[in-house]
Amino acid sequence: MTPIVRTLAALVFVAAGLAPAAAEDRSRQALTPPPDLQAEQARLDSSVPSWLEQAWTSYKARFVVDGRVIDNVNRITHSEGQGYAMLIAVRAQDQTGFDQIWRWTRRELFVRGDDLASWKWEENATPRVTDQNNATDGDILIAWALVEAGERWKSAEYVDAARRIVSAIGRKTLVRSPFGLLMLPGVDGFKEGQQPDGPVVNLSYWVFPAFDRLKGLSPEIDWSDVQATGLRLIRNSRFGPMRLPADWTAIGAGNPQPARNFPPRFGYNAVRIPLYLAWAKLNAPANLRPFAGLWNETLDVGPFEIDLTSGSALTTFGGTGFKAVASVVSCALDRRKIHPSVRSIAMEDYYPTTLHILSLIVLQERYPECL
Amino acid sequence: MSLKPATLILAALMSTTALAALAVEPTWTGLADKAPVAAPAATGAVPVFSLGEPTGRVPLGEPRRPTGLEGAAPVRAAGLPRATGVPKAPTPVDESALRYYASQNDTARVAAEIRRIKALHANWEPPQDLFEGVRDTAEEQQLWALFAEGKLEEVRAAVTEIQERNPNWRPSPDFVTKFEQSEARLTLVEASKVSDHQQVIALAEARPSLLACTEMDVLWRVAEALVHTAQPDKAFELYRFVLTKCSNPQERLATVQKASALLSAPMTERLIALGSRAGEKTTAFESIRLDMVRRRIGEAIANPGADLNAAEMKSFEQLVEQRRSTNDAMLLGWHRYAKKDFAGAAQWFKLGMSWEQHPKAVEGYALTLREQGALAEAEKITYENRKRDPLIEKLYVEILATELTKHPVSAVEPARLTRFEQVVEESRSVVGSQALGWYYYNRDTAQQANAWFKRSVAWEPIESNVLGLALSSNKLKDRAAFKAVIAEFGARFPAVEGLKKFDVVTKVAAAPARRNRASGGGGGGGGDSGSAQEAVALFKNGRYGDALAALDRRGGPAREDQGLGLIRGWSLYHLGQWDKAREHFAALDRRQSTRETQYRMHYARERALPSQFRAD
Repeated sequence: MTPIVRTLAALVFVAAGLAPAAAEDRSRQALTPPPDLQAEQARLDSSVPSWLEQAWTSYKARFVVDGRVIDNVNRITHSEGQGYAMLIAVRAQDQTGFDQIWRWTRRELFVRGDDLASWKWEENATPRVTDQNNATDGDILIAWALVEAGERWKSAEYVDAARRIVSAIGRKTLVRSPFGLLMLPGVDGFKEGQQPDGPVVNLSYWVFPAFDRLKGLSPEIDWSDVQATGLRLIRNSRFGPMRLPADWTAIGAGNPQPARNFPPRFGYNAVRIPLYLAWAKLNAPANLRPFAGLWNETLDVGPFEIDLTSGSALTTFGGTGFKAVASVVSCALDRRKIHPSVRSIAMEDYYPTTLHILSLIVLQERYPECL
Repeated sequence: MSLKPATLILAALMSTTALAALAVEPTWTGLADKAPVAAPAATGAVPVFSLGEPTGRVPLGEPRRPTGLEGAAPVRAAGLPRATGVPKAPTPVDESALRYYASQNDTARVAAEIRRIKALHANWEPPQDLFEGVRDTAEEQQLWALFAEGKLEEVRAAVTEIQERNPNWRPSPDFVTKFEQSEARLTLVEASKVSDHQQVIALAEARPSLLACTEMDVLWRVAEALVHTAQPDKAFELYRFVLTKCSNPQERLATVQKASALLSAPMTERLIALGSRAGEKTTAFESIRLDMVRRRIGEAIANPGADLNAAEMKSFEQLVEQRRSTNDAMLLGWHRYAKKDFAGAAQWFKLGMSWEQHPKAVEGYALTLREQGALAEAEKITYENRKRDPLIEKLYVEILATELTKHPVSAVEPARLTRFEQVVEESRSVVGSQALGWYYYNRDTAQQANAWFKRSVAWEPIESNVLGLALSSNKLKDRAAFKAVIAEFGARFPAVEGLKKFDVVTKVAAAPARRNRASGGGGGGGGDSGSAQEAVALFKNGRYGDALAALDRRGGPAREDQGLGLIRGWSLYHLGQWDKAREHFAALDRRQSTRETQYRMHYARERALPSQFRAD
């Protein structure tokens, strides 16, 4: 049995929810994939939608240089951006592009020696990694993209790389808490004692749609527990008059609070929370309703960064991608078709453009009825 | 919780201020800290009761034990404790737009509006409850689901369970309010179902928000409780509240219907006027007025002396003709019937039949025909319609049975007799079979008489058919059968037992007769026993009129024992004088009640009344 077949069989075994004892004859099970895997296979087999092909081509031209994704606003490169681009490349079935980005990432960011990526890289700095710490969401995104690439292009190398990353996430960022298995935003700096109200978490680092894919890689990690913790924290993070979660959340005081060392803000981080929820179809009204009105599309008001203490609007999020996220929420919650203005993707800044492409991918994969 | 007596509670209702309050938009007593901006009129509560303690139960989600985690900053904490209701200082800021946007879950505009207000009023603090009820928390989602299924006890259990996991968690004020309201409603309805009127009123007082247009069932139950505790004027005010404040047309109509069944006619008329004034479709409310007329006519039927408004009757009659309503025509028919205006009754029944072949109309028409002596027509119409209703068939049998047992009996055409026998056979009619028995008995065809009496007794032994069976056996000289019948039924039917006496008397009678002859026929000697024997003999021979005459010669009912009394009653009965028979049986019953006199009374009464009013 070749390594890749073994990996696929393991995935089948997990997806089918079988007990280990029943999984002895893995090859036979691989021949009859369960329905959900069939759907996944169908997705793998399908051709790339033209909008995605075009958007990805433009995206690469605008933000990707030699496998390095440039956040043009912050003028840096980070693990999150590398992960997002790898995810989009797999869906655009661009193996060359994917490989280039992955190789750059492995070479430049996986320098910590623990199979996690340093999150921050600046071209004009020495050394170019300006913060050795990881960003757990970046690691998750990269691992998720690698698993999908491994399946699509039958690459054991990608899957093995993903497994190493996931295993490191489990060992170094997951901690027990009264809320369940907690995912620290980074290995350093967020634990109890490292923040005045620590542990501190970033709820937008719970990349819910990735968890199902990661389960097969690392049986030792209870991703269901991680997911339940995230949902629990999100549901209990309704801050201030607007009742919205914060970018950075402290749980040291018992109940979740906006973390003291960060602005008490619903901002560029937290805005992704509903995108991931909808992507994973965790769209119970209790999960999504707080995010349903972020953008009044009729009057084109918002979406805003919001000061949670006063509930006051700060600045409007800059870019169509944030409106696309709001559209995904409306669709997931009320099956509302998306507004025409978010149908086509223009190359704006790195972050909104990325969110825009991801939002349309979510709609394409999960809610085609809203397109 | 202390509940004030209903009299105290409701004193407020009749005060002028409370009445004035009814005329203005309902207030949100006790709920002011979270009143919606634009309170929809349909949910307004009746501001009539003073606000009591909300409930005797443990308030939902109130802390049961202190925990070390409660020091968390309350403002930003998720799952904030329920609003405490502490009044805020008056603020010049208009928050209505803010609350409106929040009610739409329009986060973007809420945030923008907060920014706008903040820019104008730097010290202004936005309210913390903007999204209460708009976005349910996850925990609450589960509670709402249980709540929606009416599982109130499970809601309490779920709250406890959630709080064990998350001690700082509280259900939203919106949920608590709705839950407590639901619980109170349930308790009130339960009290109402067991007619605990005082409790119904007390519960309504404790939770005035239950007296709202959205709680129509509760409103009706409270009004009913008020009527049953002799406070119709207060009930009237509740009904009036509905008609002036609530908008659902069906509920408004049902309110007047309910009121009309509980309140006096003048009060109901006022409510109808209120409903009509409010521009309601008048036909709906008119139907209630018609129901009241119908009810009055119904009362007049039971009590024929009662006066009805002539003009009202006239317009009702016109409406009935115009609408061709058979039910109403029948009502008018029975009314005339009760007043013994049989010709008038016949007209209405006939009119009703012409619109719709309603069995009851046919029955009424046949009864009026019979009362007018048009027996042939009555027989014809009941025979033709006998399959439509058992009562019509019964009436047909009765009409012919009367003719067959008339004295003296005249021959009935064979065809009529045959079809009657068929009907009697099919319906196993005891009345019909015994009548046939007597008919053949009196026509001196004892064999046929005996056969019918046998059949009749087999279906159900009653005094008359058992009597007939014995007498016809006697006529056939079947002494054994005669004695057997007396032996079997004598104990049950005194008249049958009386036959034993008669049998003895007739045997003994020979001697006095000779004696009388021997004595040279002394005039007064005929005396007592002689006329008694004669009456019994005459009765035995079916000569009921002569039997009555003989009994009268004896000195009348006062001198008759139970046996002779029954002979008199039976004679009257067989002569078709049911009213008299009934009176006589009643008198006998008063003297010495037996099952038989009671049964005969019932039987005679039945014959004299239209079936609609029969006790069965």
